[in-house]
Amino acid sequence: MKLIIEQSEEYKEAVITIRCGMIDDALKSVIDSLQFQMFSITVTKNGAIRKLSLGEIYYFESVDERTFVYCDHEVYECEYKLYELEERVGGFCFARISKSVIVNIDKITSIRPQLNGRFEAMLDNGERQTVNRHYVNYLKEKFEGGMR
Amino acid sequence: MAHNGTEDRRAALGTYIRQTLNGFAVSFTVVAAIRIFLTMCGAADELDAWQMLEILVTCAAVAAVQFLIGLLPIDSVPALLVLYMAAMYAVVFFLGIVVFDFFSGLRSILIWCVFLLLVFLIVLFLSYMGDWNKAKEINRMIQKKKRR
Repeated sequence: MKLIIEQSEEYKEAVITIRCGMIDDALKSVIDSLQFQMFSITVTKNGAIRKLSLGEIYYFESVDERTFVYCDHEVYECEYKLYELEERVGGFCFARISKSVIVNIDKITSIRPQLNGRFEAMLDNGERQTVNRHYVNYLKEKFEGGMR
Repeated sequence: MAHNGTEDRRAALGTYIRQTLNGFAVSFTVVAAIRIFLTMCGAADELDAWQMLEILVTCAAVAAVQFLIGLLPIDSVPALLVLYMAAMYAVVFFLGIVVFDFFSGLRSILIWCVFLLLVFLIVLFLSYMGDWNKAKEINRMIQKKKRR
């Protein structure tokens, strides 16, 4: 695999073109990573609109029919329903862990069981999220398979 | 690709049913073993087939009630444990007094209370160990992913 970067003042927008015969695992990993970086979600906070890249997002939570987007310290709101987000970001490193939460699995530092059969996911910003028993196997598959 | 919630829930229910059956098998074995031990020590009466059947039915009833409690959306771990214990004692005392009449006196009630506590702790421990192994496996995957 060769990497060619052409830099010039002429180019207003960065365009990435991949020329290949077939997509092997290494190339797929590069493509997944690029798609992950390029994918963004439009969110609002106090009337202001901004775009968040997926890497900034810790988890999505649905509360009373509204969907909130949690970053390291900030909380935003987005217009998508949780099932819509699951369809949009499920192919990346996001996994549903309960009826109301989709988490960025890259932000999970560890998992520990609770006495009620559920699990608790520790995120790297210190937050904890409950992983419902129904979603534990799916989460495991996500870690096993990486991005699908 | 979003995950298939229905399939996953079905698999999780299957796991939960298996866990309940395991719990039932373990509880019946432990109760029967302790009961036989007490008989051999001379601390309890001879154990006949009918009493064995009573123990079997009681353990099955407790497992069934606890299975239903486990389906309730209760987040608090202490509340769930208290509910499990209360259900277990309620079922045993109901069957013991109303259906089977296996409480022959205060000593018998005391023995049953100790039985139940022991069995509860053993089943809880085994169930927690199962989850702990699953969490360990996921944590290993997280560490592997972080190292990459």
